Amino acid sequence: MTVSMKLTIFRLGMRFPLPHGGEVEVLRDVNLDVPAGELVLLLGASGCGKSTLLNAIAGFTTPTEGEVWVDKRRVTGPGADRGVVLQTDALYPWLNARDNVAFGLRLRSIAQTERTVRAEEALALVGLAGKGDHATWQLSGGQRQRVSLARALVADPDILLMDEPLGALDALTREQMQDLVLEVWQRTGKTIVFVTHSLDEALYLGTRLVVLAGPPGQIVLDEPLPFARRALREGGGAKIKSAPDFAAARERLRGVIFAGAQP
Amino acid sequence: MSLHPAPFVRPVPVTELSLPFIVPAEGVPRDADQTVDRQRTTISLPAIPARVAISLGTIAGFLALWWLVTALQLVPALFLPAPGAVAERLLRLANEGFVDATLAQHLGASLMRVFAALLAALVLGVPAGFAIGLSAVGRGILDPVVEFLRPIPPLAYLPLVIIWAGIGETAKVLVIALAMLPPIIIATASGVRAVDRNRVNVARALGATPAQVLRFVVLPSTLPALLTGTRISLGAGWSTLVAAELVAATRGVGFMIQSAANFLATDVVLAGIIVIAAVAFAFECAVRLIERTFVGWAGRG
Repeated sequence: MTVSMKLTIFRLGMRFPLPHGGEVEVLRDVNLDVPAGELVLLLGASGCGKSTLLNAIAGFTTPTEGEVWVDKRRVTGPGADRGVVLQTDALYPWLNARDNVAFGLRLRSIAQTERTVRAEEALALVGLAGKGDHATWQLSGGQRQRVSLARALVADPDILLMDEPLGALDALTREQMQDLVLEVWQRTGKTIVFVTHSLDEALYLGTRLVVLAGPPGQIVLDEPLPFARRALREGGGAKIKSAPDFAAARERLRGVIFAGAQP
Repeated sequence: MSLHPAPFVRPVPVTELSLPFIVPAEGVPRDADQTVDRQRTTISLPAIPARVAISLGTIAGFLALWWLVTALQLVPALFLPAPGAVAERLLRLANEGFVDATLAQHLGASLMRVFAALLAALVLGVPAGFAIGLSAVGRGILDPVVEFLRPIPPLAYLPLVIIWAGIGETAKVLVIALAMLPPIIIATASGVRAVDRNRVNVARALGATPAQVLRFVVLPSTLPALLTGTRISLGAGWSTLVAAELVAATRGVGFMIQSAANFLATDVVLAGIIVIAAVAFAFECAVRLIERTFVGWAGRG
């Protein structure tokens, strides 16, 4: 086991009991080492266990076998070192956008003035400067997800876990949000694990691609990706997504997915 | 009962309400009508929605029917006094009173009982609801108690409460509180159980302790359900109150009606019933106002 990694997943297995006896194996012998600052894209078909894997990293569920380590500490439950952004933004509707973002700071009894300053900074980082006073229901789906991202960032976690955060957004908003995630990643240098079931998103967004197939979920592909860095260098996703090598990578990946996943 | 703030709307004269029903053969002049409407919306309060206008019309209809029946002397005044007589009696109740207390004193006594009972029901019911919603043990212990208490009409256990607690204030408050308890417990418990798992998980990932999750996520999430429970229990409490006062009291709106009935003072009985209905309506409006002010976010995500 390499403990110098930001995130280490060691022989992780997960089984859930079924309601009428027996059990279902969701993850089997998953091993993953993630160095600091990497943007890992976790791709897999529905039901392959990618959300289960993310929940285990977040500490929401305890694995049946194996261990998860973050920064040389073993994960035994949820903690502020791992921020979470979910597909449903899970905002608190009784709080305005700013107080939603500042939620993690309030839990730590940080003074009101500092909370406001840091929340506004985080809102500006996700492109929502000046929207702090808005109620959650006054925000669009994309804006809500931005607030959700800012809320996770403001607590300054070591790792950002994103579980299909753009899955519920329309195609155009989704493309904008992908570029936002890249920008935030570049500016903050966070280690990010991003779950998706979109081939394009997986190829475009990550510096590393991990493909999970199952059930039981197992890693069938783990390789570096060039496109995210190229997009940041050249600025602009449309050109990269229509480039020949992107299309070729997409076709190859499609083959891997459909070979590995049961219909 | 209407969802719209009916009591805050400017009262409409009956003649205005009857307008659409007495349409001249050539029809109501369209433009003239619209300008009147536009003036109404821009100058003062928003125009009265059609549904509210219809409801007010229904009430006016009932009053008219009541007046007609008494004016034609179809029913002796002993059984059904005229609306005017009841209104006059209501004024006299407010000024002079009935059986040694003014209407305000009767009403005050009744309201004190209901609010004391509401306080007791909230103090007991909210923690009980949380216990049921949060833990299987709590649910196992309290569910049978609630399910036992809920379907019993308060009048059924009133004699027992009087045996135990006497005929003083305690017994009355106790009976009302018992009637108010189940709606509050059930609403709180279902509110706690309905808390979005993801909202809890996000808080945990931000470092929230279980106590912080409870205070900052579960409690606010439960507030709309709790207010709904309070609304239902105020209704239950108010109807139990009148029943409790019928049995043993020296003051209170229910007592006032009961003693008036003994003297065949039907006008006082009717006036009392109108007061009871008005107060119940005021409760409803007050809780809705609280809901709109504090949990306006509910249902809007």
